[in-house]
Amino acid sequence: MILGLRLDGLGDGAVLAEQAALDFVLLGDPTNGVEGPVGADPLSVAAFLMTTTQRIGLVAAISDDWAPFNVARALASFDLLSGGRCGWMPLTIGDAARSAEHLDVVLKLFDSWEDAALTYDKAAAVFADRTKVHRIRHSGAFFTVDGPLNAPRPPQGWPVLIQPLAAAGEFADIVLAGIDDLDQMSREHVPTAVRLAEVPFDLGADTAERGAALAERMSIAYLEGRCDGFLLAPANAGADIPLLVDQVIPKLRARGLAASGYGDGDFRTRLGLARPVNQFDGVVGP
Amino acid sequence: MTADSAKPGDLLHLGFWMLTSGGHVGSWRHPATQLDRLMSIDHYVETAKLAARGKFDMVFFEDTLAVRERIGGVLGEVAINSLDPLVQIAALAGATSDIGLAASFSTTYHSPRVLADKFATIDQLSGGRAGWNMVTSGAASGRNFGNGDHPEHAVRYSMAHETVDAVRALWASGPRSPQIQPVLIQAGMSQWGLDFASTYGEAIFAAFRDIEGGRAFRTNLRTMAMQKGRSPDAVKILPGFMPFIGSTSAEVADKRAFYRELIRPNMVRGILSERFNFDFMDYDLNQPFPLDDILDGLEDRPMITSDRGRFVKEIQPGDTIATYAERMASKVSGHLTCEGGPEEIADFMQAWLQGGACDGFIMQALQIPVELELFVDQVVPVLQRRGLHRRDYSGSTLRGHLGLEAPR
Repeated sequence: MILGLRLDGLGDGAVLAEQAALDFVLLGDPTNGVEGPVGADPLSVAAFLMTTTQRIGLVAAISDDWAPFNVARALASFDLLSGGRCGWMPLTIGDAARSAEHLDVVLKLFDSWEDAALTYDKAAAVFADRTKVHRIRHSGAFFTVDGPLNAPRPPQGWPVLIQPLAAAGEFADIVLAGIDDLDQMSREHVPTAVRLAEVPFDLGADTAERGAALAERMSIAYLEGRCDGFLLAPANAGADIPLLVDQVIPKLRARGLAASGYGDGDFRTRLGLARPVNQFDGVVGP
Repeated sequence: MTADSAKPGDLLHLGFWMLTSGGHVGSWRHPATQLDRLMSIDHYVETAKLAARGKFDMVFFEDTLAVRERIGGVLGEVAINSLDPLVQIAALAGATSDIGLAASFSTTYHSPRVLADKFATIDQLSGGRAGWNMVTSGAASGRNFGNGDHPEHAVRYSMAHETVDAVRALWASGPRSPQIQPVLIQAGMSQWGLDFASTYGEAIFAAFRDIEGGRAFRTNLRTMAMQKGRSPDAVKILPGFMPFIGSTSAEVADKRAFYRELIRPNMVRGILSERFNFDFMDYDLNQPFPLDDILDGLEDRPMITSDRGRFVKEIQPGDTIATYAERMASKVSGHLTCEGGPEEIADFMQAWLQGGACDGFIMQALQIPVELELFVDQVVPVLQRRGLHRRDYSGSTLRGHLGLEAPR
């Protein structure tokens, strides 16, 4: 099963999560567009974890009140620098139509450089093949963005896109629903994306009992095919993450349901997802 | 405390400018440049650790919000250097200790909330090592942000004032790092820039022709800071600097020839095409500079119309394309340069510091890591021996390294 873990604040718990071979951590809840004091920026925390961990997928929530060019550039940079460990969860500030157009622009910008655009030809003194870099010329109801992005295409093509079921469109790689709402996430409804059930947990009291119950509940939902994995949300990261690693993950492993290490490939590959085809492949000229 | 003196015993403050393969435009073709690593965080971690071995105050990343282009597409003849600088310094926070981590980020294309959250987070994660170079971004950025044209200079600086005030207010409301708030850095020598720098700036990147020019600027800025109720020492002036290290004149000549050879004719044509928004790609570099061709139809190339006067002034009678390009290549960066062995490089730096013309340098290396390693291994020990550069870090915050007080 695919296992993700929600982290908050400055990302404490990521190293333990990697020791437990969890697939990814999710840094949530940016304060963009919100009143109130300064808060932790999920993308910066995820970028920090790029060097304090080695393999685990790093997913940041990003508010769509940040311009699509900035979002695409930050994510492409993250994916390039980390060698394909980046994921993101867009958070909608405005209405749904604006949010959909924002995503559309970000994906176009990821594709504005074809995969083969970087030639690195020292002898001919050609760093990039300009015929393989395209303006996106997007002009919509909410955004006008010319492009191209000033970073090449991310190694995963597109960083892994996580969306809640209610907001998920055709490009979602991972779809999230509450563990009590899995009926809406059947394979008929969600044909290709990885389906994760979000599970709040609190192992602070009656730990052994609660840990066994959590492992049992996860095993059943997974074995019944009602989801492909879980996004675990600790009530108290400092206490609950070590207990999760100690008490729950070993039980899932004993049943052959949780991995004990990382396989080959980038985050997307390890999730069993195909690399997206570039929408500008074959387009001639800028 | 006076506005114009460098106190005896003052230490140099050194920033290292993190470009992909180095400060020389041909550095990406250098045999030691591993192109497949230029976008890997490992390359930047190793470079930052090398700079930390040389006890630099900070590493610094620039920022651009549009690709470099020439007519018909991107400028494919140069290495791109445009990854998000905040992703880079956040990642470096996890892989380094001590050395400061500074980045440019735009006051025009990010909200105060985004700027405040990101820099405060990185400041927390790094234990008080973050610095923000406040930039208003170049004209080419506008087309990627769809709000009509890129705002004009005065509007951008007025926006910058409002944004920086809002960011500082947000910082004051949040958790504090060991250096209280990120260090505010600024580049820009216009009157607008000076007003901004003397109000907010704590480290100022600048370009000077000579020591007298540096001293005049530094004295002026320190005086302006005092007039605004700040300590003159609250503003550190760091001119751009790229040393050319070679122990003998033969070695220097060889190195010059080697780096000149890294710039191929198609790169010269490409860069000139970008500069004039004119297609030079089929021109012979040895022909007379085609000024008339360029001025003809200049109005149809709006990106550079306003530069007409400058272009006409720069091009000298008898210039070929090649001679013009060579002259521009030597001055386009505006950085100070100095050639010679380690003692001579140190002499140069010492003369600027003790002449009251600067508080240190923001340094580029011709190639990374080869030329940075040379500086760290050969020049840094000389500076240390002369008592001009720290032998080890005495604190762990950027503010502490730069000798800055806590922000008001």
